Amino acid sequence: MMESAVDKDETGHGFAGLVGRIALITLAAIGAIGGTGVIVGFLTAFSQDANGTLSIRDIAILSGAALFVLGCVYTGWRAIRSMRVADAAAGPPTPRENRNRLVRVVAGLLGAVIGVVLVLHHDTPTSSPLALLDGPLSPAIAIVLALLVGVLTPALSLYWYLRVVDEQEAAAYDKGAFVAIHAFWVGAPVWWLLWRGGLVAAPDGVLIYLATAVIATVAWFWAKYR
Amino acid sequence: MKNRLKVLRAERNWSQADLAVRLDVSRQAVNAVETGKYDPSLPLAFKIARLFDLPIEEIFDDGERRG
Repeated sequence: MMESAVDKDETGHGFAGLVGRIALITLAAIGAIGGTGVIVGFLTAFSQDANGTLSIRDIAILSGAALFVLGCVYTGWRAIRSMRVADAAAGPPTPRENRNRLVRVVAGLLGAVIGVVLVLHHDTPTSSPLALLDGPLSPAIAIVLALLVGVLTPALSLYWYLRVVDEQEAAAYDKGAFVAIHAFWVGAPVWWLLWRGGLVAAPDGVLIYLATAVIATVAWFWAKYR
Repeated sequence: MKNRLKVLRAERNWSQADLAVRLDVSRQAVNAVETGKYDPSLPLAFKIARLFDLPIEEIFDDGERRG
């Protein structure tokens, strides 16, 4: 029996499947980065020990870590491939979706540039990842980053919101923004009041910013894909 | 809001992607409207009605009966 176009596009991923695949990709990425860190740390320590030789135990640990990293990469690749297959089942992306993807790629590249500049130029002599977010910067780098974040990001966001997305995604974005701004309006003063009462640590601006961004993203995702 | 979008689409053997291109929206938007998870704006509802050459109320049902 001939498969109709209407039957064909019903085979795409549902909300639970999409969330599961994204969670799997995230966990695989964290696992691969963590495993690579173990290998690099182990080899660095070994290279600093002039008389060191690799024991059977060391080789076993390194082999295990390498297998773990390979497993994570393979799992992540399978999950990405599965998402692509499910997406392809819903038919080819529309011209508007292609423009949306292009803007997301540009936004990703902008984020990568900001990330690389932060990694290369932060002045904090510590290995803590959070130091990248609130450690000191040189004035010149701070100005460059502030321009990237303060000018390019809103320009890209406005173009995306006003010219690229359709009304369903704009509505999902509005819901995400609504939930996030209320989380901020409520969460920030509650933390501040509890701090004044001596019950919690002082409010952390970076943490509040990150929490607001995460809440907006999760609410947008739910509204768009549920 | 209930609607007959999926049926109308099936009658023309259009995929969600086909309809999405005709309406200049994403496949996700068509899916969300079809499953009742998103109610289209008035301009989009008119666009859908013109595309299928039907009055809006023959495509969308808000559950209210005419008195």
